[in-house]
Amino acid sequence: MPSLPEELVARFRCVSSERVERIEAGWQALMERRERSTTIAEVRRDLHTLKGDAHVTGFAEVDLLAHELEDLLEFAIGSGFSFPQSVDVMMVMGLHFLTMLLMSAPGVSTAGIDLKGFLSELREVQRDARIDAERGAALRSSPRSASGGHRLDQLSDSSREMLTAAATNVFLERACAMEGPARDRLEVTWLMLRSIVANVTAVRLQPRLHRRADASAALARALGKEVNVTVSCGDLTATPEAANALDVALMHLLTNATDHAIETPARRAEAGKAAGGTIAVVATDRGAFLELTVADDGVGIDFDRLRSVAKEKGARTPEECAALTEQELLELLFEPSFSTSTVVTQRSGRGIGLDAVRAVLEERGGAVSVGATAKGSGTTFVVRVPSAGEHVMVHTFRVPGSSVTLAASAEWSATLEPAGARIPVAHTDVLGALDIPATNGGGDPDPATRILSLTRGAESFALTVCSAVTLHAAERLCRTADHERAEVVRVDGTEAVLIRPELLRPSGNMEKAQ
Amino acid sequence: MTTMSLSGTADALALAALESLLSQLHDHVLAAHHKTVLLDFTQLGFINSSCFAKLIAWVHRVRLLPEASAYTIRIRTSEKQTWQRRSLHALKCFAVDVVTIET
Repeated sequence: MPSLPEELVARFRCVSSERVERIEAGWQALMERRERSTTIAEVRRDLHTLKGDAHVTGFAEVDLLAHELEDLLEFAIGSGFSFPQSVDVMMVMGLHFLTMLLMSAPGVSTAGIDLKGFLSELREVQRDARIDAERGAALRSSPRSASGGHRLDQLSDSSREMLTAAATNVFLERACAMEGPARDRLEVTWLMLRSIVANVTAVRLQPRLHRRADASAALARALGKEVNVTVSCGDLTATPEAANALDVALMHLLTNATDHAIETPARRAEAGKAAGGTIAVVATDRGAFLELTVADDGVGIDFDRLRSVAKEKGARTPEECAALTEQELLELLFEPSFSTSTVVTQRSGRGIGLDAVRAVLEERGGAVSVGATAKGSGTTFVVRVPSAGEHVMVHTFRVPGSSVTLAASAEWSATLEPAGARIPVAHTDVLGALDIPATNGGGDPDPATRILSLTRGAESFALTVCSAVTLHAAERLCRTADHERAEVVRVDGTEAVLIRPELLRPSGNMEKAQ
Repeated sequence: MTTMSLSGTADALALAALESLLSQLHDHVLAAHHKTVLLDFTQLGFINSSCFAKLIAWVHRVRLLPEASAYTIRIRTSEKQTWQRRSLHALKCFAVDVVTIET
C-alpha cells in the first residue's frame, strides 16, 4: 500500500485517471488514423508518466500494468498499427483495468481482480500478434539463414514449455546413453537445444534502451531543457531478468540526469557550455556480466553539497561528515531517502531512485557505482549485471548407479540419515522416476550411502544418496513448467538435473529407505 | 436465471444498442432477483474494443453490487470463435468472482 501522504495519493489517483482517459482517446484517434505522429508522442508520454508516477507513489500494480501496456503500444507503433483486432481490444481493456486499479478506494478489497491473469492474457495476445507479424514479414522477404540473426523469441508459452521439456528429455537420454556415436549425437542435440532455449528467452536491449532515451528526451522538453540522449548497444541481448534490471536502472539514472544533472540552456550558457546537454548510454557485453554506462555532461557531483546535506539530514554525525572521503560521500547517494535536491518534482528529488537502482541490481547480483564525476563537467554511472540466467538455490547430490549430478530446490529442507535407517517416509527411486537405468543397481545397501530426507511443509521424500549434500546457487539453463518432473541447471560449471520431488513417485517402502 | 444470446458482430454500429441492452438486462435481473445471467456468445462473430468497454463497465457495475442483489455472469463461448478465448478470459480477470467462462 502507498505510504505517502493521503493528499498526494488522492492527487495521483485523480491526475492518473484523467491521464488514462487521455490515453484512451489518443489510442482511439490512432485507431481511426487521425493525427498520428503527434498523438503517438502524447500517448507514449502519458503512459510513461503514469507508470513513473505509479512507481514513485507505490502503486506497484498500476506500474506493472502500465509497463506491459507500454510494450503493447511500442509493438503497435512498430507494426504501423497493422495488427489483429485483439491487440486493440487488449489495449482498451488494459486501460480500463488501470482505471479500476486506480479507483480502488483505500481499504476496499481488490479481491476478485486478477491482475496476474490479465497480464498473462495481455502477453499472449501480444506474442500471438508478434508471431503473425513475423510470419507476414517472413513471407514478404527472402528466407534468412539460421546464422543470419533469425530469432525465435516469440514462441507462445505452451510452445516454450514443450521446447524446454524436450530439451530436458534429450539431456536425460544423453545421461543414460552408452558411449558412442548415439551419445555424441545426443550431446550435439542437447547443446543445440540449450542454445535455442537461451535464444528463445533472450531479450533484445535496443528497443528498451531507446524507449527510455525517448522518454528522457520528452521529460527534458517538459522541463524546458535541451537534451540529446544517445544509445549504443549494438544487437546485445540479455536474459529477461538482466534486461528488466537494466531497464529499471536506466529509467532512474536517466530521470535523475535529465531532471538534476543537465542544466537549463541559460545556466549552460553561463557556464560556457552548449545550450543542449548530452547523455550517452552505452551497453557492453563484458562476458560474465553486462555493463551499462550513463554519462552526462551536466553539473557533476558537488562533494561539499553532499557533505552539507549529510550533516543537515543527520545521515552521519558532524564529526563523521567532516571525515568522509569522496568515495564514502558518493556512497551516500545510494542510501534510501538521501537526496541533495531541494525540489521534489513530478519525476525525482524524493530520494527514491539511486537506492532503488542499487536494490534492483543487487537482487540480480549486480551493482551500480559512480564511475567518474567532475564538478561542472558531468557524471558517469556504471551499472553491472550478471549475464547468466535466473539462479535458484539447490541441494546437490548423487545417487548410486549414476554419474549424473542431481539437485533439489533449497525450498526443501535436507536431512541426512545413516543407510538403512528406519524413517516414516516413502522412498523415492529417483533414477527410476526419471527413466534413467542404473548402471549397478540392486544388492545390499552400500555402507557409503546415506538417506536424504527432503521436507517441505507437510510433504516428505526420502532417497538414497552416495555423495555429500551441499548447497549451491544453480543457473537455470532450461526452465521447464512446474508440472515437469525435472529441468537442467548449471552448478559450478557442471550441468545437473534439478528434480521436483513432489512429482517423482515413491517406490513404496514406508519403513526403510532401501 | 436470465439468458441473453448475441449473434453477428458487435462493432461500432451495435455500440449504442449493446449499451442499452446491457442496462436493460441489469435492471431486469435486479428486479427479478435473479442470481445468474447466462450470456450465450456461441454465435457471436466478434466484439470490438468499444463494445468490450461496455461489457467491462457492466461487469464492474455488477462487481460493486451489495451482496443481497449480487448476481453472477456465465458466458457461454464457442471454440470455433477463436477471438473469444483470450479476450473473454481477460474480461473474467476484472471480476473472477462474478464472471465464469464456459465452453
